[in-house]
Amino acid sequence: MNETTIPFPGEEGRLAKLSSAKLMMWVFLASDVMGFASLIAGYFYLRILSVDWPDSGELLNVTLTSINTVFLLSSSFTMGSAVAAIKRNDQKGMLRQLWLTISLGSLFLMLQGYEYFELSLVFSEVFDERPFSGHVFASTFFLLTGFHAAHVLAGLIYLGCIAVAAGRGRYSSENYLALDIAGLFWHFVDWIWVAVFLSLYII
Amino acid sequence: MKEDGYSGWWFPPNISANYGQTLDQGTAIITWVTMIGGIVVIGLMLFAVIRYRYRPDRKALYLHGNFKFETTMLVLVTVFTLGGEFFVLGEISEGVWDKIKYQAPEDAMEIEVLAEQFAWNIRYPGDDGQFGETDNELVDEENPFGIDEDDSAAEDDVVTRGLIHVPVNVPVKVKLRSKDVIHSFFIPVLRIKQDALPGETIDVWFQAKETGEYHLVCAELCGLGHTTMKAGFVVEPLEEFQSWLEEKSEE
Amino acid sequence: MTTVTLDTVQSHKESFLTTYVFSMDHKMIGKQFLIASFLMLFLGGCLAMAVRWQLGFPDTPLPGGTLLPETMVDEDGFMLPEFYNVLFSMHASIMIFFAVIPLLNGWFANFVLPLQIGARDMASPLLNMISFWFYVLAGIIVLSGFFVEGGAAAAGWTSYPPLSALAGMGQTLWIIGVMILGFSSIMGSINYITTVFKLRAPGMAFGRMPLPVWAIFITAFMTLLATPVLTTAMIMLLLDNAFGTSFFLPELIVSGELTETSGGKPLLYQHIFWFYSHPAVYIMIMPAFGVVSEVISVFSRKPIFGYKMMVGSLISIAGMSFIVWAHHMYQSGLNATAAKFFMFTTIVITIPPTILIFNWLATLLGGNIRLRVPMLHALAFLSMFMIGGLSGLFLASTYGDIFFHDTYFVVAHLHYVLFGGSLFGIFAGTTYWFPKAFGRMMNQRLGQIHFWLTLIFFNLTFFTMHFLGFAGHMRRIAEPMNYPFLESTQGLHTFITISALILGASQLIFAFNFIRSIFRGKEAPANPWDANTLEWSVKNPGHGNWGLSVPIVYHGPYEYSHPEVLEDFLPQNRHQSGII
Repeated sequence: MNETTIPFPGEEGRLAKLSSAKLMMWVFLASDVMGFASLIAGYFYLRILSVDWPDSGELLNVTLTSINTVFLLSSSFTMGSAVAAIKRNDQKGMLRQLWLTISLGSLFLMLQGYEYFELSLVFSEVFDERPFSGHVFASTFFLLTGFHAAHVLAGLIYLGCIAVAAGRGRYSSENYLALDIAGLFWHFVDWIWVAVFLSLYII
Repeated sequence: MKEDGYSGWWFPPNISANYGQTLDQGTAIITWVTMIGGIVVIGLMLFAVIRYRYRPDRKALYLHGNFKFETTMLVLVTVFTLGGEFFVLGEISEGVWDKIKYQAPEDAMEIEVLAEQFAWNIRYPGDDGQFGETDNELVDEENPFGIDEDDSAAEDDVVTRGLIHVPVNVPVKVKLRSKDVIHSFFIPVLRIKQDALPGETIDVWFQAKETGEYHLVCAELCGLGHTTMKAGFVVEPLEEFQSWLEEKSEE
Repeated sequence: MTTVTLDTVQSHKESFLTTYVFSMDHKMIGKQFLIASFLMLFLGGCLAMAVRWQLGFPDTPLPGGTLLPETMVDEDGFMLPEFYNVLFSMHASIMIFFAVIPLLNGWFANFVLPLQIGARDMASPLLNMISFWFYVLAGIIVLSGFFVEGGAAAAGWTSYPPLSALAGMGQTLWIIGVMILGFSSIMGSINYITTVFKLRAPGMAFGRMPLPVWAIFITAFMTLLATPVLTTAMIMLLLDNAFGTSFFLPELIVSGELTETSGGKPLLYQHIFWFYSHPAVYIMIMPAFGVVSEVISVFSRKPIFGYKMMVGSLISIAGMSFIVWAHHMYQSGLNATAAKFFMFTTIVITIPPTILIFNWLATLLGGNIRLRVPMLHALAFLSMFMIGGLSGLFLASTYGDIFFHDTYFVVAHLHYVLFGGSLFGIFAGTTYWFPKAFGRMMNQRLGQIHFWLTLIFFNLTFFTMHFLGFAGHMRRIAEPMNYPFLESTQGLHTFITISALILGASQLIFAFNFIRSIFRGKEAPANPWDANTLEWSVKNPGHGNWGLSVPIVYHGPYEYSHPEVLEDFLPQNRHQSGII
């Protein structure tokens, strides 16, 4: 048998286009989905069985957060544009879209920080001077959004490192895997927010 | 209070008037099934190891599998398991689980059991059949239930600690609560067990068919005193029960 | 693409630190997990001996007890109940999180997986190394509980709130440590899944993978999807324990004082915890299923019977493991109809393991069986795991469980599956792959003595325990003699303790054999067991495992006793026409 003609099974068929690194990110995201799912399920359990669950529409700033959601989801599109740009070797376009993504993500976090500040005052009033622990409504709110915000922050740091490397000309239409993978993580962070947002603010 | 009839390695006496007996029957069936299954498998294994021990002059049977045989086995195992399942879910479950959970007798005598670290508190509603109102703010050493003395229904409530009396052959419904951590209401001779959750009131009922002095114990780790958390459980004829209750209400 | 890649025997100069401490080589990391976990196994065992001492000899102070601080023992050296609670809680936590899970998913998975698929290393050696050090960090944090005020965690390995939420620093450290251990597991699973998909050698199709690889691979999916749920349970429990929240705490009255908690549900913790912990028990047995399948086939000189159905059973166990969790909660106040649903799924999940057992038996029948030490352990696994599974039937029904829940019957059951199952599986795999890991053979005679003593005293200890369960003996009880109805159990307790002490002492024989053989064992040939899988095709796998070129796989791993092959085995990388 001529060994140069027998392929590695991991490089054949559908696996051929999926690099190890990208597969690892997908697999990691599957576990992260379970983490969010478990927190959201726990939240609904407590809410459904609660006898005194406040109206989220009254306590939370739904309008502000809806706008914030639009910012975050837009950053998903700019991220996609960044990857599209480098695929056609448009370095400038990629950098622009990348920094736009980071700006939108940072804006999201800042607005959320502002919302936290406001809410801690509101919750303090409504929940006995204990904005975090005074009622399960508050605790689940901060836990769920905080868990998500930690992911956003991690994503921003991640994207920042990628952007610096991009600025140094590291990526090209032949070599953009790291950008692609970072994009995958960023998309996840954006779209999982939809689930969190719907659960806490809308439903 | 000592209990007779305990060998220490076999089941305690079963004084349960209804579902508890079915429970023991179910356990007996499973014991036979598992014993036979276990002996067959281990027997086959030992047989194989001896009959097919290594001899250098032969080779093993080269057989990766046999589709028909494997499929038949799978079908048989599935049928046997699911069949056993429906028997279990149907016949026996109805006889026990459904009875306990959905079919408490309407005329059962109600008592309230409040578990705490590390004691069992029991409240009887008294002649009026009503439990007096309670409030957590009123709880203290003397008043573990936090009974509001101003409530008229509370006047004839009888509270005991560490001791339950019930009349024989009368269905009793326990409203089970906990003050602090999870405990578990377990009376071995009645084959009844129910975790007591703080923040919930859980119903469990039983009917004892023999008199005697037994124990209620805690079956969920509740802290350093878990090992001491027992209460006397006395089953007596109705008249004796009523005079005991009267005695207690005068205290 | 094809061919050889990697610079193999290459030249990054390795120091002592990068070879033995901060290694990124999967074989070394596997051995690191092996050593660290065996040490934890030993510690967990010692804690168990102390627990048994209290139960078997309640009127004799704990040996060495007078040396312990007064938070643990009274002035005569008798164990305090609160310390008893610490002992069994830490025993179980150490065994589960720091011995069994890492031995199966850290030692075997790391050492065996890349070798058996013909890979040079894991997909991410760096992630692999990090996962080991997270394990170490987690262990240090959990064990540091022994040195803080209030002592180590004492709420059981299950750590139910409100008890665990009200507990002190020892419990807090336990929660944090378990969370970090979870991260280590998840990292490992990401690596194993990716490695199996991407790094198989040429010719290693999925249908030609040995069963240990399948088992590790499928277990990794369970780990990946279940462990994050444990993480969230721990996050919420930590917040309740240390930051005043009420996820699991309604209003409580503790030591006469009303707490500030409200609105929480203790049952929520149980749901989230058991959603992880039920798959966890399969995580703790499935790699052993793979190991034992391999050992039984190799030492029967016979193909594993029903390979496809074995794989199918493993996959269905993994899938179904996510829908049975509340059978741990039947008596907990769970909705009665939900409980019946879980009883249904629990009974269905007994089908695949039954198939596994039948297939192992079918492999043995017609074989040419050599009873070497790994095979002895594998046979013990088969029978003891089966007994554990059968005892589970008593617990599987909602009503049968009423009597047996939280009694010694459960303790007997779980030790049959975890010791009789997982641990014998671990012994089977460790004695089997020792020659490949250390280049030397373990001593046969000592191996046999260790095996028989372990098998006999294991059964004397734990089979007897079922009867304590029949008697209605509750678990986690420091002083059974407080209960008149348990007075007659003292004899059984003492018998179990003596058996357990001998069982524990017998493990020292294994330890001695293991350590001595690393340094003074007879040099091992490349393939001491005449096995087919790829790891045996190379004498001392070094960095990159295969030298200049990775092996090429021509057929499946179970071509034993093929009528057209001269020998009774045919390595996967040796071609013989007509055999695929």
